[in-house]
Amino acid sequence: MIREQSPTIVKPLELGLAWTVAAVPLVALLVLAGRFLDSRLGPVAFAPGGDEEDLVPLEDDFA
Amino acid sequence: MSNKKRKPSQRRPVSTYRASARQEPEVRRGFLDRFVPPPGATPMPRIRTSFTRGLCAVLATPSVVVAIPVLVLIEWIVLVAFGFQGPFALLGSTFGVPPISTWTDFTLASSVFTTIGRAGVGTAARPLIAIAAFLAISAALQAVVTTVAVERFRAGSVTSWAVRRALHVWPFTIAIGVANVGVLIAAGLGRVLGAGIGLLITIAILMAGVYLLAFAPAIAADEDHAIPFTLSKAVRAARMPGSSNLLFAALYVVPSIAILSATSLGALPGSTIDVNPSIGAWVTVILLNLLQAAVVATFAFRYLSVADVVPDAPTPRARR
Repeated sequence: MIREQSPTIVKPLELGLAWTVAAVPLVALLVLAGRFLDSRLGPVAFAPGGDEEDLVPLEDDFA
Repeated sequence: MSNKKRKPSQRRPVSTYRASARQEPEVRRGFLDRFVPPPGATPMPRIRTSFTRGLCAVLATPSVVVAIPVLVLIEWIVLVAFGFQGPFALLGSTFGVPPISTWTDFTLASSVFTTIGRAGVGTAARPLIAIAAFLAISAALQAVVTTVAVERFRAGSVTSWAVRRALHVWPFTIAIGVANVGVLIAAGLGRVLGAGIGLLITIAILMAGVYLLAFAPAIAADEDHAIPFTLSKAVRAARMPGSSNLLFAALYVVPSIAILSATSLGALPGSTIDVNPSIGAWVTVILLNLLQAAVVATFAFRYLSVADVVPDAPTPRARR
């Protein structure tokens, strides 16, 4: 006989702890990554005829 | 007999210009050009550029980054309170683009609110009411992420305007969700044809749902039109020649279906029956939702890039 707890019983402390350990550092990392990316990319400038600023002809996606 | 009046001549005026009236033959576009346009053929930004911008818009908005894990936690607690026992990984599409998010809504609503072995109007109506509620919640999330992205792209920052504008966009995203219920039903009919062709048809129909309707929330956030006009303009924007929108829809739908399949096969953290998700499961679901929100923002960016050149009325087809 194996004594094992049912996975369908809520353990609020374990649930809250897992969420905190996962979410807090991840959110901090993502916000930092966002700031870095935002400063690297700069503001968006839409040209009046469409398209964004960084169209480099030699750098086409699938060329 | 000679009294009969002659009909005035209806001959076309003869042109005095002697140059050939023939037009240059239009270059015929192949089917694959919809996926991979020739270089310089489109004002739509490249997929890589668009996705980087979309991801940046989400990551650079701390309120969205914080809201994702908080809302997933609240959703999980509510679902568990209603008796849901997993898999937790299904919540990875909470912030998704319809019909992927609609698919998750259907699955969650039917697994939590379907009562087996009971009959009656209440028992029958419960899953339907639950699906409507899930659709409304998904539509609200899509509206908020879209308006946040639109404001960030247009103004460079996010203010409370985004939330107020999201209330205006919400009916539009609900309409898109309802339209995608039809897409899901059509995709379900495709399965009748078996595992092989049926799956291909299902994927194609889901792709069509993303391809045709994904620009509509961005149009609603950026412009003021009625719902039918917004939906038809979204279709026109999607069908812009050489815009790679079909490829982008495929790149979104196929991995999304693979993730949903991985959940049902138990290959993803949090895909077992367990009401206490592990740390790995939380990280996976939060990251998946972040990517989903980035795709929503990507569609907003792609529309704003071509907003000036999308016609307000359907262009008449040229005669061959």
